Amino acid sequence: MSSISLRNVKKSYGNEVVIENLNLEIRDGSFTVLVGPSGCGKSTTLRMITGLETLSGGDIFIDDTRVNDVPPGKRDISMVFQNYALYPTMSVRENIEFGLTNKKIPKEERQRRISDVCEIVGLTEYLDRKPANLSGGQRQRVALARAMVKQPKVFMMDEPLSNLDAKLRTQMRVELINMHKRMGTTFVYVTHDQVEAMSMADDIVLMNQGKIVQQSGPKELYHNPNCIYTAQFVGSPQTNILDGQLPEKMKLGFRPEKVRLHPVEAGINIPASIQTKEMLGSEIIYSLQTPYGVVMCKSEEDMEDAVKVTMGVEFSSMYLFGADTVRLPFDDKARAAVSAVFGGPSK
Amino acid sequence: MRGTTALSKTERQERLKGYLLAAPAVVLLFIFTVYPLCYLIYRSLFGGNLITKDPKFVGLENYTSLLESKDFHQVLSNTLIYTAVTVVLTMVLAVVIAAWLNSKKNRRLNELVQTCIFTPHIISMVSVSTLFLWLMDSKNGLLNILLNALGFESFPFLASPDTALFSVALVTIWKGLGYYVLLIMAALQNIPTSVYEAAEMDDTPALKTFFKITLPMISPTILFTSVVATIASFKVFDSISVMTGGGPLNSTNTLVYYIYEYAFRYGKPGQACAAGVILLVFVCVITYVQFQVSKTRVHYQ
Amino acid sequence: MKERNKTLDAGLRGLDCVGKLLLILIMAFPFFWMISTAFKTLAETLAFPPTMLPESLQWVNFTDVFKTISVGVYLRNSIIVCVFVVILQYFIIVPAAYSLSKYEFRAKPAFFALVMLGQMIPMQITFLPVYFMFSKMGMMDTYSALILPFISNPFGIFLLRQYFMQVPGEVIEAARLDNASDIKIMFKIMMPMAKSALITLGLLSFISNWNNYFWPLIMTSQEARRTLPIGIALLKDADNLQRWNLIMAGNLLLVLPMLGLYIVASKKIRNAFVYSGIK
Repeated sequence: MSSISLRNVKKSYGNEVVIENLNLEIRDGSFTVLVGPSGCGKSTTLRMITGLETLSGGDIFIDDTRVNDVPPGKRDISMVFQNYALYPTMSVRENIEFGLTNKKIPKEERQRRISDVCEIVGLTEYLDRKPANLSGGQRQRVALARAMVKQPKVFMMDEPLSNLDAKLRTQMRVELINMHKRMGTTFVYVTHDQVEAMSMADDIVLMNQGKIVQQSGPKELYHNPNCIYTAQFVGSPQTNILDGQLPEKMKLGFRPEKVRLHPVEAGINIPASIQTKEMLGSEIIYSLQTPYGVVMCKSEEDMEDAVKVTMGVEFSSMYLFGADTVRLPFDDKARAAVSAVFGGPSK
Repeated sequence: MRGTTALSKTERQERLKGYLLAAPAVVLLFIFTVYPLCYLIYRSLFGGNLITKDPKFVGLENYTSLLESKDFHQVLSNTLIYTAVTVVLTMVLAVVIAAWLNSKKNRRLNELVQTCIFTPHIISMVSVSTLFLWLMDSKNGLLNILLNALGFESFPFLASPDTALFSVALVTIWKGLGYYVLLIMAALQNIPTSVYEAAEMDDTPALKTFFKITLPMISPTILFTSVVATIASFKVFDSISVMTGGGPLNSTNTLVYYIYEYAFRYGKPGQACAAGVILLVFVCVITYVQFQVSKTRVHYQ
Repeated sequence: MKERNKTLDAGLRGLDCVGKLLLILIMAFPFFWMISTAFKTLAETLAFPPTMLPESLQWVNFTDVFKTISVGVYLRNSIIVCVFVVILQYFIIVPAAYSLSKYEFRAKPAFFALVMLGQMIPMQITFLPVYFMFSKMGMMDTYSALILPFISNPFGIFLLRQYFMQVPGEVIEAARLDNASDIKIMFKIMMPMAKSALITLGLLSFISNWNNYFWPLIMTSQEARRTLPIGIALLKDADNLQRWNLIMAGNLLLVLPMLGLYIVASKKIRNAFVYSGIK
């Protein structure tokens, strides 16, 4: 039982307001990822939950207990830092044990927990080494072990994979998912990397400029963005937005992977010329010049040397946004308006 | 509302801890730096001797009598000449020796030179002074025996008012040189080799490399060490006290030794304090100059 | 052409070598002379031409030194002062540096300015007022007068603060999350990480206090509290005969501990002074 809830939380440094009014519920046992560009307030939010950062207003509850005045060490939280923050003068064992001795856990219990955790993360042979004599991946494991051994209510991670190379990062992602499944503890994870967020989370909190833009599962976030910001944050290349053609400053969005390089039945068809072609292997990314601007397309189809194509997008894969960039329902009226502007289905 | 009061409580606690940890050091620094400075200036405005209970306020009289005193003029000029000789010779020698030891020739020997040259720096000035008293002894001193053996006339060293101050400076240079060589070598080793490689690609002659690349790159260190050496020279006391006692004929009497003598030998603390204030002004001026110059020169780092 | 370059190179190398050996001679010979003189008879010190090595080792010179001045008392005082300064300073410096590097409070800039002022003002300026203060309080000729002024070592505070500031904030935060108290963080995290600076400071203050002549000269007038450097200076004055063999023997007692320390840890000591010089 360890849900977290933030109510009307404010944070400012002097006159600079970082977070104005944040309300967030983190479900018990969930793997929640706070994601957003740097400076969006995600790390500050995480640090306020840990207690390393004081609140300028509002309340934080862990399991319905208000923790505003509880010091970080007493909140029953573990954290993995971006640069691991291992104690450089202590051996691996001492690093892992430090928190347990502070909690006055008896010696046999400590030994048992340490050997259990080291078994899991594979550190048993390195217990007597100093952090300086470990590789990046091993340091990461020490940081994880140090966090796990406390058996906390909540497990916090602040960009823990960003110092690893690409191969190790993919491997650690899988391990973290397994770890979460096994421990069943609430995980709160901060990253700026949407791929990390999508692949690991069962709940994503997308933040921008100190506000929560959308909170939902990864599938929902991808298929059902509630505004242009979300639509463009998730997915690569970015969601195409056609702006300036529709009435009432409405904007039309569709993902590059939904763009067809041939006419479609229930959708719009636009003449286009291929500008560039990026071979990714299984897929090709085209940049298409259309009368309405450049459109990106991700497709398995290889157009060889063709230049002129007809680009098609089905109605079912379109997002309509209002002038304020908020998502609008794609009803019959919208369909008619889009058909009128971009040319209807091909005959 | 509840949140804000609780928060200011933890923040207040943090602040209190900061003060508490600093407190012992602050108290000691106050007793041994701030209070003495204030008292020095205050006491310099009073007459009396070491045992007087209520010394008389005399205003700036101590200062005027100092500035009118021929002895004090000589003390000031002694101090400045001693400082100039020590600092200039030390810095020139230190830069030359550091550059020399930094070259790639005879590396193992370089290590030994460095070890030897630094040794006097950690030896008490009392020892070094007595040692040189012996070496410079006019009858049986080794230095004169050596000079005679090489066909030179005997040098009076500490015995003559013309050479005593220079001899004291010589001892200081001998003792301190290794320290400055060490600091300048550290600066030399911080110059990235790529700069020298670039100079080599440009076919720069060695001397030009030294004056156009090496010297400018270590100039902040030279400046800094010069200031350290200057202030150390202002403070000179031990060697004077052990080797010459200010003589012969007042020729090696410098500021700190003068203050000491006026306070404890002639029992004129007011005048001694006034001289102390003058020393304080010297130190402040040099520190200020260093501050200003280093501000305009930080573009290296 | 190549051959000539080779001989020129060899010549330069030789010249370089000779120059460096000369430099070593200039720096080391006085010490050799001190040791050699310390073991000579008085007659031998006055002999012309001088002998490089003593004819026989006059250990009696050292016992004579002990007869002339109270070496035992001076030695004891020197050791007491050095040991207390070195140990007590940590109790002042470490918390002060910790406060300056990791806490926020309004008077912090003023405190830092005080530390800088303390570094800038030499004791040769402040000694008279401190003398007046100590004599008013009856603290002349006490160990306190020789120890207290040195334990708030402002340079030490400054150096240690630099070290503490390099400790990443995250490491301290991790410790706070591990429920470690401030005291525990200071002892278990900060101090081990600044170990080399702490050793450096210990070495530097041991050396400077061992060699200090000025301060004990001002603050002591009784045999019972005088330190070794004063003793050696007295030895020189006490002896109108200018028995240089005796004076050098006494001198050796003052020099040998430092020389020994330097031989054992020459690199470490030099590095300590580089730290102190470059800041």
